[in-house]
Amino acid sequence: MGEFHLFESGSAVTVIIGLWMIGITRVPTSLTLYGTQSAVLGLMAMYLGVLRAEPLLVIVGVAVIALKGIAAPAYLLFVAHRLDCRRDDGVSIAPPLQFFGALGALALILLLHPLRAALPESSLPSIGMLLLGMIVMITRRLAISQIVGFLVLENGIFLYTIGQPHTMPIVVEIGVLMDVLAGVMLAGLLAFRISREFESIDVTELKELRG
Amino acid sequence: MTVLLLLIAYLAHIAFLPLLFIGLVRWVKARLQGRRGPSLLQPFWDIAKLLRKGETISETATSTFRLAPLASLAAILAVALMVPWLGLPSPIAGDLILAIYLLAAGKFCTSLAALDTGSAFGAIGASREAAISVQAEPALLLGLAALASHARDSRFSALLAPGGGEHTIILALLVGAAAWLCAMAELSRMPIDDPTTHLELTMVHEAMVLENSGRSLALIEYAVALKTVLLLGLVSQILLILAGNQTLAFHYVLSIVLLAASAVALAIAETVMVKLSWRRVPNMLSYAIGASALACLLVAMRG
Repeated sequence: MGEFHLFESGSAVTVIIGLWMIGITRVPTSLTLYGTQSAVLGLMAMYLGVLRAEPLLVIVGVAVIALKGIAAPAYLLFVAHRLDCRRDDGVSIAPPLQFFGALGALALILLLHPLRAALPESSLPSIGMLLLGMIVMITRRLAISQIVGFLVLENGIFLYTIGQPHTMPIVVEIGVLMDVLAGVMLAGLLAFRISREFESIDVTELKELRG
Repeated sequence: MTVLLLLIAYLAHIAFLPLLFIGLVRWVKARLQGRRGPSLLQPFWDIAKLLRKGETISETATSTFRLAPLASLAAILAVALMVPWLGLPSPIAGDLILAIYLLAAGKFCTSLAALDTGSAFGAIGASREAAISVQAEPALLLGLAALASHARDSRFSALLAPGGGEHTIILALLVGAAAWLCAMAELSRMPIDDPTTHLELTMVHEAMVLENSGRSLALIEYAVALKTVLLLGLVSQILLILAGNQTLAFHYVLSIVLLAASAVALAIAETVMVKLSWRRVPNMLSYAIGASALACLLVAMRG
């Protein structure tokens, strides 16, 4: 089994998890899936680090597993539990239908490969995951699910980075990781504030703000 | 000669494995609930008791009602000799479309018998079973079709063979997951339906067979048990693609171990999970269809 092969299978697994998250309506489940996805990404980074003999990439992988795989989902699970949000039925289109829509779009991108000139085929999974994260952000009702969508999008960027032959300097990687963690903390606090001010974190109700 | 030996092996397993499997599920479930549980052989005694009992048949029922259990058992038996669910090569060559539609034909007979008596519960059960199988069938068919086009052969012996090639791992996992969800739906087990429910309004499969008694109930119960090991055996064969090329004996032992493991998994699921509300069943089955569609996409991409 070649190097590229295992890496490709890993990215396929992360994209499949991202796709699955679109159809999920239970908030705790989607957080758990996000943790799993990040852990797989971390393992892939470690694997690539060992393969290319770059110890720093292994460290990044361990940090990703610890911070994005465990810490961030655990914190958001705590927030979701405190705010008592269990189910997010989505805006306008039911999540299972969104799931099929996203699946169809992904199939079109992968089979037709419209941006052949600009994008190499190896970057398609990460682009796909980025778009999946955006879909989650656009179509969800609760603020906490939108945080999850943002995190999936960020995972897509991470997948793109580690897929490149020359990885970014470790400082940048760790910096981005810290930024994401700080973002999660802030967003969680914000969700608390929104829920205290408006007694709900349903973003469709924020229209009430308009005068 | 080998075909004869295989036929004998399959028939011997078909005779005792299904009821033993059901017994194992019940025993593990009882243990998990803190009861001692019946002996593993209890389903055999149940069937023997039912076979001795007389049969009550509704006055409005036609001969369809009496023939349906036989027809459905015959269909499932034929599929059981076609699909290599034991890990040994199957004695009859069959392809996936024949197997899936024979199973559907068996189900059709059971539904017809449920409608035949004119009882309200039977009709409710039949319509639910049809609604579920409409959603489960495309998923199973698509998933197996993905494996078949990967192997470029639609016979079970070829499509379940551990072929090389890229992405076999993900393909097998996706199709395995889809097949497991379909098996839960087709067998009316958790989380689609609780097989031990005693409330007619929530029953799916049990509501259909409320009118059956005596010998025909024994046939139906045995057919359901056989279908259970058949579908779960198919799931374990799909997962065993991951194990690669093994000797026949090792493969057989692995298959039996996986079957036992799926009995334990069923029992655990039935202990800890709650039944899905009826409106959410399509959501769950959409994941099965999605996983199968993804598998097809993967095969289409890799040609």
